Formats: sequence, C-alpha cells, structure tokens
Amino acid sequence: MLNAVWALLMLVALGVGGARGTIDSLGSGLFTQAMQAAKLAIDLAAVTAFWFGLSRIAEKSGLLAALARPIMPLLRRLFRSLPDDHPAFALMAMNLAANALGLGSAATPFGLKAMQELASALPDREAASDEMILFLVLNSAALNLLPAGTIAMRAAAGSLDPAGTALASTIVTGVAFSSALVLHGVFRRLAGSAT
Amino acid sequence: MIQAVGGFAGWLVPLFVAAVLLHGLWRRVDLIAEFVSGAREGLQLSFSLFPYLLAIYVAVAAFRMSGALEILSSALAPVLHPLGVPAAILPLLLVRPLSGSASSGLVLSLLHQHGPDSFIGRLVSTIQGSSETTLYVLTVYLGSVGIKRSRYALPLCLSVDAIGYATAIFVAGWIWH
Repeated sequence: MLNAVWALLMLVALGVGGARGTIDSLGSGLFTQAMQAAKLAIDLAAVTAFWFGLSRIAEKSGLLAALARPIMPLLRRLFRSLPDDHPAFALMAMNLAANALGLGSAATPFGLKAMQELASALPDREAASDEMILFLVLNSAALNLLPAGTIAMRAAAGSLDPAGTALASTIVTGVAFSSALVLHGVFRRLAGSAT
Repeated sequence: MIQAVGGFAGWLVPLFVAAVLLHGLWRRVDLIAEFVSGAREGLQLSFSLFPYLLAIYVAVAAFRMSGALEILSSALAPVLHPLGVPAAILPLLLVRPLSGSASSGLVLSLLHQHGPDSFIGRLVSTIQGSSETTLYVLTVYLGSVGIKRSRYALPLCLSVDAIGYATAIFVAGWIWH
C-alpha cells in the first residue's frame, strides 16, 4: 500500500514535471530537498533523544506507575468481563499513561505484555477477543495530554509556539476516546460472538 | 481565552521536565545515566527511521514542486472546500494510519512549507498529535500474541481515526480560523 503511494507520488511528480518543462529544476530540487530532510531530521533526532532520556527517568523513578494508578478504576469499569485483579489492568494503565505523556517508547512494551495477559485466558487463540479489540481501539484513539513528538517537530521547524497545538490535540483525542467506547459496543453487537 | 491557553501550553513542557527530574531525585534515580541510555535509544531509533522519512519527504516535495499537488488540489477543491478540508492535508489523512515515519515526513514537509504557526501548520500538528499509526499498532499487538483473525478491529479503529481527523479539522477551524 505504502509502496504504491510512494511510487505514485514520485512518478506523477516526474511526469507532470516533464509535461510542464520543469524537469530540470525538479532534478536539482530532489537533492536540495534530501538535504533539507537531513537538516530537519538532525533537529528532530536531538529532541527525540531528549524525550527518550526523560522518558527513561520517569520509568525508573516510578513516576509513570504513579500516573497509571488513577486510570485503573476506569479500566475496571470498561472491561467488566475481566476480574478486578486481572494482571492486564496494571499493564494497560501503564501503556495508556505513557502514551498520554508522549512517551511512546515506554508505552509499547507495556502494551505488548497487556496483550499477552489478555490472550492467556483465550479459548480460541486464532481470533481476537472483544477485550483485546477494546484495548486496541483505546490505544489507537491515543488519549493524549502531551503530544511530545509533535511538539518536537514543531520546534524543529522553527515554531514560536511549539506546544501551541497540545490542547487542541487533547480535545480531539478526548472525542476519539469517547467515540471509541460507543463504537466498540456497536461493532461488537454487529459482529456477534467470536466463535 | 486562546491567549490564556497558549500561555498554559508554554508551561506544559517545562513543568513536566521539572516534575520528572524532581521525582527522579526523590527516588534516588541515577539521573544522568538513565537519561543518557534513554537518549541513546532515541538517537538509534531516529537514525534507523531516517531513510523512510527521507523517502517520503523527497517524494512529497517533488509532488509539490512539479505542480502536481496544485493540479490535484484544484481538481478536488469543489469536494473538499465545502467540508472545510484544505487539500494540502489530504496526503496526511491517507498515510497517517499506515506509517508513522511516512506521516512524520509529511508533517515536517508541511510545517516547513506553510510555516509551523500557520493555519495548515497548526492543523497538521493537531492531527499528528491526536492520532496513532493504527495499522502498525494492530499488526504488532495482534501479531505478538499470534492472533490471525482480527474480527472487527480494523474497521472499528479506522472509524475512530476518521472521527478523530474530522474532529481535528473542526477544532482547528474553531480555534485558529
């Protein structure tokens, strides 16, 4: 899919350039743009490294775990079919908390472990359970308080207000998170039972 | 109100950094050592992603420089304009769920071309900051536990993505237009 998108972008660009007689400037433009990409990537790498470093401290100090704790009661209400002491709750809470703070690097390992816990009780290991799908859709709705990656890109692009879109992102993810809950109920009913 | 919000957003990152450092000090974490090892991992990740970013960045730039984007935009304008969707963000909406590095490349190139503090710049930042690489999350998370049938996971997640993009366009128009 991405293959096709990429090839299409390049070939259409070269075709249009050829038809419009701008192919010369396009040829040298490709290299100028590649250099431009490298300059931006270095700035971005610096900010990413900084955030990863900070993320490691938050993980080691237990700050992440402390922030995850208030999420657990909410998860217990959403995943009613799981017993209250299910080990997946703590892992899902850590995953969502890390994502909310833009610490994606810390989030993925917790997410994968949570999936293992959700899978362990599954009778049919081939098909995703309703609980797994609910966790996935909450994850992809990406409830976000601090979109660190985006702030980094805005800073790298020379923004005067790099964090200026954080609140808008939070509002959007709040809407997406609530609609994920509603739609999960709808899709689940339409799909019927897993077996 | 917008200015108050902007002022608060400016405090967000410094406050978070201070909180992480103070909590780390309190818990006696070896701050520098942990920071350096995390940062090293971040650098390695950035460098391993660079070739993908380069591929998309250059392709999008070529598409724009050749005039193809202009042609596409004016062709789609009658459809997109009533919906309030700027044609410039169309490629991002298509690529966002598929690839994280590709959408980062797109966002960087849009921020550079339109300016990060322009309306388009703020809109793509809002979209990027409020969405996930859905296909990647589904593939990796389900694949890691050997699930073969994802049932309704993909249509559900893509519907939620679509709601997110629509909300982002609405919210950005409401705050910055």
